[in-house]
Amino acid sequence: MLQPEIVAAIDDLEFAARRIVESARTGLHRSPLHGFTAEFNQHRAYRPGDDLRHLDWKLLARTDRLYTKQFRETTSLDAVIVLDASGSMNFPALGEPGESKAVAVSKFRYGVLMAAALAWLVSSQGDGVGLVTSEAAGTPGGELLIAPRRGRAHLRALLARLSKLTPHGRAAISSLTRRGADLLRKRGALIAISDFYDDEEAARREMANAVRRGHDVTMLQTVAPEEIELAWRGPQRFTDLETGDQIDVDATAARQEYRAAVAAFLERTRDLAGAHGIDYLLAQTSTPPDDLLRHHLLRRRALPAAAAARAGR
Amino acid sequence: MIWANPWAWLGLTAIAVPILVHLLARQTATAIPFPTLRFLRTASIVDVRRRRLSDLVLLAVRVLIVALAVAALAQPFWRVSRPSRVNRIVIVDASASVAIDDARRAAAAEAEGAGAFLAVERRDLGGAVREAAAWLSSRDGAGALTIVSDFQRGALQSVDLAGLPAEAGVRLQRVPMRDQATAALGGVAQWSVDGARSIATWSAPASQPALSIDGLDAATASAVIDAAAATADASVGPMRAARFVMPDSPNRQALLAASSPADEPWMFELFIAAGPGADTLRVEGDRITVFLKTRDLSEVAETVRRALPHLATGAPVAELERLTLTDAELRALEREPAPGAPETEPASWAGRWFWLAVLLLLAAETVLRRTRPGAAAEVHAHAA
Repeated sequence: MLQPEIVAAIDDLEFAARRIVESARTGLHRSPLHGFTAEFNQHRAYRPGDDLRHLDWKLLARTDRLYTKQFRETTSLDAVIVLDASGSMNFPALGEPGESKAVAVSKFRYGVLMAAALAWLVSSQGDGVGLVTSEAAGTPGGELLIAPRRGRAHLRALLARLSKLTPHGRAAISSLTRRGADLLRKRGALIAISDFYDDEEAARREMANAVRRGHDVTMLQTVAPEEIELAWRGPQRFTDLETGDQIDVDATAARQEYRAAVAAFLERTRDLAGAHGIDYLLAQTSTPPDDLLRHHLLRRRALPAAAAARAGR
Repeated sequence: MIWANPWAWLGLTAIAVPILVHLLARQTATAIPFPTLRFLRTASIVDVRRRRLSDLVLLAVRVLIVALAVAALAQPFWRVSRPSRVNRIVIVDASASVAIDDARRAAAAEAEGAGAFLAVERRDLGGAVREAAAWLSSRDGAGALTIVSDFQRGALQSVDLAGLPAEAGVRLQRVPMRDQATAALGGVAQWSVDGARSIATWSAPASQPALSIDGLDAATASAVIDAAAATADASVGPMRAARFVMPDSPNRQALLAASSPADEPWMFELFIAAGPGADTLRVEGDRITVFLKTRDLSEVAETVRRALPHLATGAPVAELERLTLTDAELRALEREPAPGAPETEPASWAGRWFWLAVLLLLAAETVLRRTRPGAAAEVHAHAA
């Protein structure tokens, strides 16, 4: 379990990504074949030392022989990571008055770590990885597009670009998602990392489109505990990080209603994601990133049929 | 209110501190950056103006705290103003003519409401006034002199009062003269008081009337006369000469022939008063002669005794009219004391009220600070 604030403090993104992935993998049986996109292929004779979890028990029952299931590496599936770099992701901001530095892991930083870890994981499996995000205003189009490619050098370059990103402005996650889907020429994996506060409807529509086109879409919703709990006391003034709007609210009085509203929103997002065939993952910035990754991988592995169905469609 | 430590007021410069804090606080941003406001919009809105107002109230409270603390350090005292008490000295005229008991009573009454008080009994009023002037000068505050006396002319003059401090008051209290019943006044035959006048009647040096008894030897005669005079109801005064003649006196016939019959009313009164012991009464020049018909010595003494009061002439030998100062003259000498500066009595230390107010305001400041909108944001770290 890697503390988010400690990992976030690692400047070398590649190193951090590898640490996350390796830490996640320690909970799993080490198998290079158990990645994002592996599926069951055939049996082979049991060799002492094989993981008993991969024993085909049904076959044993029928034939009284030990066979290990073998997973086949599918044809490589590229992955594109879509990262929301809008202003709302920059929360809690570093250097907030009253906060100690150790606690300040912004949603954006967390998203960057997860993106890096996923990129590293996919690349280590020999698959191509790409990135779509919004860059600082001034660049033409304001979007950063990195087409998926295999190889160490490409990964390094991608991580380098990733580590230089800063959150700013407004995000249209929907258009980024479409861009990302376009980058995947054949069937691939699309992972969208955002808080999905704005543009929620449109973003989901684009993701559903991607699913229809045969991609494996994952929705990683990042939230900070501070924005779920609203731990402030008394009358406060809040500023919207993206629009600059201000509102005066009595936090104590509003807390209950606010928490209910946020919980309802997250619930709705999850339900709608599931209804459209989008894989949903809620990422709190307080959760160790390796735990999150491990949990997700386990979940996907537990439903190999579903994963296969998604991949194969 | 008086301030015992006025230098403390320099501390008012400390009022600049809460004002600076107020101005600086306005500049720092207190808004909390938040990812999205969509979930907050459903909640209640706090008026921004209330924030500014509560900030001003807090500033006012803080300024007041500083001001009151400074005031308390300036040592405030309640000023109690009273009309100044007059220091009074009373000179009681102890000369013989004054009724001393009345004088002492009058002197005691003067102590009422006085600051410092002193009463002296003196015979020499001029010297006493000089003493009083010295005493009054030695005392702070207004002073006054009272003289209790019968104010006989010559005892007190205006020049005596000139030595008093100019602002000292003078009061002259008249008391009656001693009652005439006391006869221990040597040489005074009669003493009467008529208003402001006293009349004394002197007799000549009291001498026994020229009394003689013819027909008795000298020793017996003086014994009888003494016995008669001792019990006689005689007022002291000039007496006529009188001779009493015993019945068996050898000079009886000769005296009878030499004297002439009584011819004035008082002689007849005397003869009647003399009683059965007297045989006849005749006059010889200015001498009354009473011829006795009794040989008994006690009866003789009795006859003499009865005769004595009628031998007084009743004419005053000398009359001296003594005058005291009139009321108008007394009033002219009197004057009111100049009022002294009102006293300030630092009664109670008023600072405790200021400190109490400071404590209450400190409590109010804490409450206001905590409850105003936008108070220091406290974010609890999410429990991992």
